[in-house]
Amino acid sequence: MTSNNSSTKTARKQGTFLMHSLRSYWWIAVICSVVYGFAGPVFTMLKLDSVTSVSNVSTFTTEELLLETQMNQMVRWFRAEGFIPLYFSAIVLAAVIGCVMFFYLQQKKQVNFYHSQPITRTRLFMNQYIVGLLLNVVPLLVMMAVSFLLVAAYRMGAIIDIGVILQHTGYILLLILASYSIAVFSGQLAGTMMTQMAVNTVLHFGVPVAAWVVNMLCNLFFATYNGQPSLIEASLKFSPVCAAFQYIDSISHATGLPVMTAEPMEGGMLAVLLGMTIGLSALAWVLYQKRPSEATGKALVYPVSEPILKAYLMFVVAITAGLIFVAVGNKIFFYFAVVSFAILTHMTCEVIIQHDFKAMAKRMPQCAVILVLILVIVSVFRFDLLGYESYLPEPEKMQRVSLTVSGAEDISFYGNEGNYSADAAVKQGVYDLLYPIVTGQQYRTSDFDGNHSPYDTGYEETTSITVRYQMNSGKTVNRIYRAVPASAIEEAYQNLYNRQAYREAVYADVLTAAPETIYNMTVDDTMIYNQDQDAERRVVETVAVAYEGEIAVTTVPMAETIKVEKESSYATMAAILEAYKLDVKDRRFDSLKKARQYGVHIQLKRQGLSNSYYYFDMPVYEDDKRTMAILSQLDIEENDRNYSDALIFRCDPSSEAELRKMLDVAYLNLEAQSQKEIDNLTIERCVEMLSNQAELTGQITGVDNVNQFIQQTELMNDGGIFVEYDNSHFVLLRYNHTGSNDWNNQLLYKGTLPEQYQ
Amino acid sequence: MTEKTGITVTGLSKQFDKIQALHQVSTTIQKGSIFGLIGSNGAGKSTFLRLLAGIYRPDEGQILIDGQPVYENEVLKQRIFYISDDQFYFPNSNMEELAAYFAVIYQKFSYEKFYELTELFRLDSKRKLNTFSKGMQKQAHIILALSCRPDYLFCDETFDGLDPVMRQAVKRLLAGAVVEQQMTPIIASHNLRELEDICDHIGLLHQGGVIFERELDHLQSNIHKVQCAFAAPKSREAFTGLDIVTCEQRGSLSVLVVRGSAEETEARVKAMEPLYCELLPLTLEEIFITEMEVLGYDIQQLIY
Repeated sequence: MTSNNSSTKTARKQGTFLMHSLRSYWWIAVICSVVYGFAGPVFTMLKLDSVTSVSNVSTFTTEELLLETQMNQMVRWFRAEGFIPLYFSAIVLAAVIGCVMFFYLQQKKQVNFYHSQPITRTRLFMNQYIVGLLLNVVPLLVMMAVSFLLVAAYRMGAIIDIGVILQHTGYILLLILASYSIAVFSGQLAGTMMTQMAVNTVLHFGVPVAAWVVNMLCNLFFATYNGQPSLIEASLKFSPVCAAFQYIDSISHATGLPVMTAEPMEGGMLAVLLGMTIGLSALAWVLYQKRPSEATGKALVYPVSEPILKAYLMFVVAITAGLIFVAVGNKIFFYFAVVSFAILTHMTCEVIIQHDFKAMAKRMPQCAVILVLILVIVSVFRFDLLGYESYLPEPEKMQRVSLTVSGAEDISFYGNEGNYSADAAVKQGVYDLLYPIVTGQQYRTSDFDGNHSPYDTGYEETTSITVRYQMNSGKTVNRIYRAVPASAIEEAYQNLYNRQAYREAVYADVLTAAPETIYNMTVDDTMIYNQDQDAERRVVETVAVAYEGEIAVTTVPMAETIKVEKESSYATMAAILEAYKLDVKDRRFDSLKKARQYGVHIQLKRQGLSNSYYYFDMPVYEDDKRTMAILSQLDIEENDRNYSDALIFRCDPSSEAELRKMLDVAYLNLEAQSQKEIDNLTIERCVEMLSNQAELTGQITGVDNVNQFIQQTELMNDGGIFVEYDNSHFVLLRYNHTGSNDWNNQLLYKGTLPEQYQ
Repeated sequence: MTEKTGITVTGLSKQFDKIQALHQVSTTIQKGSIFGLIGSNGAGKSTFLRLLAGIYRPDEGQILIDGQPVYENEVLKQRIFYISDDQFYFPNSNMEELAAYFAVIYQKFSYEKFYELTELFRLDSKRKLNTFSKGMQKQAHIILALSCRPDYLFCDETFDGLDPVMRQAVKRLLAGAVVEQQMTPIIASHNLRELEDICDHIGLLHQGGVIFERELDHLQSNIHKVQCAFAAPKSREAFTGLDIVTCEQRGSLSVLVVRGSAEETEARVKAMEPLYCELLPLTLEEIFITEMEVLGYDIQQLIY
């Protein structure tokens, strides 16, 4: 009975104390409300106003269509963009409030006051923790509700999906909790406000920053050690801000569905954020119990945290400084910067920890130990002491292998880089391709090499090679070789590509795609992968949308829309896919050297999952006869800018790299004179400028004429790293844009220039 | 079994980095007494009070208040109030807001007492505390402390900054609380005159240790200043049988501070047939200075 009374009293007291604290921190709720007010309702209202503005009305004929289009715009906006301000303001506010709620620990007067009160540290901690969370979360929820009420007030309530909103709210709350836990934890470690904020910042960004720095030091190791995701990607999960960026980035790439969606957060990210929240909150609570009241005023409460934080800062600052120095000087400067900035960081830390400038030279042995550790780490990666970079397994030790050569036939177009082949000839082919690259170190080992890499001049065509081995032992090994000269692998890659087993592995996703899962398909003639296409580019598209097999066609409001017959749209899309499958099976390496004729963007529904889609792009080459036959019937118009003039030049460079360099130098000379010179560059001035190096062999005037020339010579098509150029000709194209001239230079493919201009 | 009352400190030690603030302090403070804590600067008085208030955790030893350890003891701390030498108040708050806070925290908080004392001290409870003078802020905190009706009140330099009238009023209030509710105030101060007026027990701290802890009356009745003149000057050694603390010769006049009862001291000096002899009681301040001189904390050494 007495125990019950006592616990009731305690609970009542805790409740009253909580309410009192909520009232005393009312100003935090006001600030949160203002921030969320702008991030939510105000931002939403601006969007609603823009979507429903008069300028949109003229495009549409009926009110229903207008409303539907407006709703679709709002749905697209709420997929990611509409939530971005809420995500980020919630995280930032959580970090700030977490500090504010425990600022009293950094003030002697306040510590003495609170800890002399008849309230245990546990109760005080819980009270501050809960109050800080409530003050952040309640205004957030209120303002989110207001945002959606506004949407409903604009007659768009139908787009609101409670499940999606709850999902987003859940993620925001999780990110708030993670960020808040970090801030609260940092409050327990630090004894002054300055160090509290510094520790908070380090804990918020420490892991990704360290990963980023070491990746610059040796990108081969850190980019590949963990496979997919790389260590850098994995490290982002340990920072709520970066995790939010990563998540927003992933959902913003979701395809244009006409319903409100929220892609699920990756399981690993959820686990890390949840673990961080629980782990750091619990640790903060334990540390609060142990925290001596008299520690207030010290830079760091627990001496054991000093060398750890110091070593981290010394490492990050020293390596960053080294990389900056090596970018402007030679390699000696790297070591000079590493040593000097490590010592400077140590000194700065000592001044902060001891609150005394005279203490900067203290604990130098500790500095020396950390510095030696840094130099050891640098040396291990720099000189490949672990043999990581030089590792190349024998073909017989490989169970399967996957190889991607970026730019040759970028596998990322097709959705998945990890399509393996177990074919013995493919394994041998990969080994043969990589052997001279690995043994001859024909790749950029790290950003430490910077501009000094002999293979990364900017003028020689280079590529990245991603290779994955699944070993007989079951282990998976990843490597990425960057800035590999294309010429060094061309022959070996040709041999490999021409093997059907390799192509079947490369195009596995395409070859296994079922036509009945097609959601939509977009065809353009330039293989433009950027989804945010500039309307001015007059990209001509044909869009046929099939909703789960049901045939329905929408015509996008673009002048050059190609009409696909309603009855045949789905069949057309299925036919394109099937034709493309046959074409890639037969494709030869030589086809890759030719210009791409079309780009087909295909979106498919994931089987067994509702509202889950994936997509890939299918570049179509001249030799893809079956696909070309179908696409040519669709009467796809030319895609280009309105270029008003084309100047064709002949010159005599020894290589394509030299030709590019010559054009770059000419442009730089022009830029050095003035921007005005560039804006008002006349044809005469252009010819004069290049007169020493090139001879004008032809001039075409008028948009239609230039377009015809472009179509004839395939100027706008980028054929990848193995395309053969005619090193003797280039074209300057003039595009008149808002009163100023925009000059582009283009190289010509071999054999595509009409004789009259040669 | 009798319930243990009062404060019992045993082997208490506290160290801040390399500084030993308190070392093996043991003392007892009876319930219902008014305990004055005196000591040199840096003696550890504030540390001692913070340990008593449960702010600091002892490195060694224990503090029992009414038989219970104080650190993290929420129930016991309901009966304790600590007034710091640099008391905190919420930014832009007034006395009423602080009272509302303490009313939440302290179950025995009395608004009746609060308004009674606010009126007595003529303070505006709605005026912001940051507009109060230092002395008025002290008064405000004393009012709030007494309104919480604690059994133990720990005051660190509380009389500093109060004008003589207010000092008197506070002393009366404390004395009243001792009589009415058996409150035990422990007052650390350098203002020995004030302590002498109000305290019945005195503890002297020096360099982290308790030098003595006694009843004030007993302390004062057991040490005296003796002024005596002899036909010929007498050396310190000549005063046999006296427990001399200090001895000063000014020509034929000898000024001694002697421990022991007044009767016994007077009898021994008079047995030496002085031309003139007078026994004077020592003020607390004089006792403090004398005791500190014995410990080598001599003002003459400091100045000269």
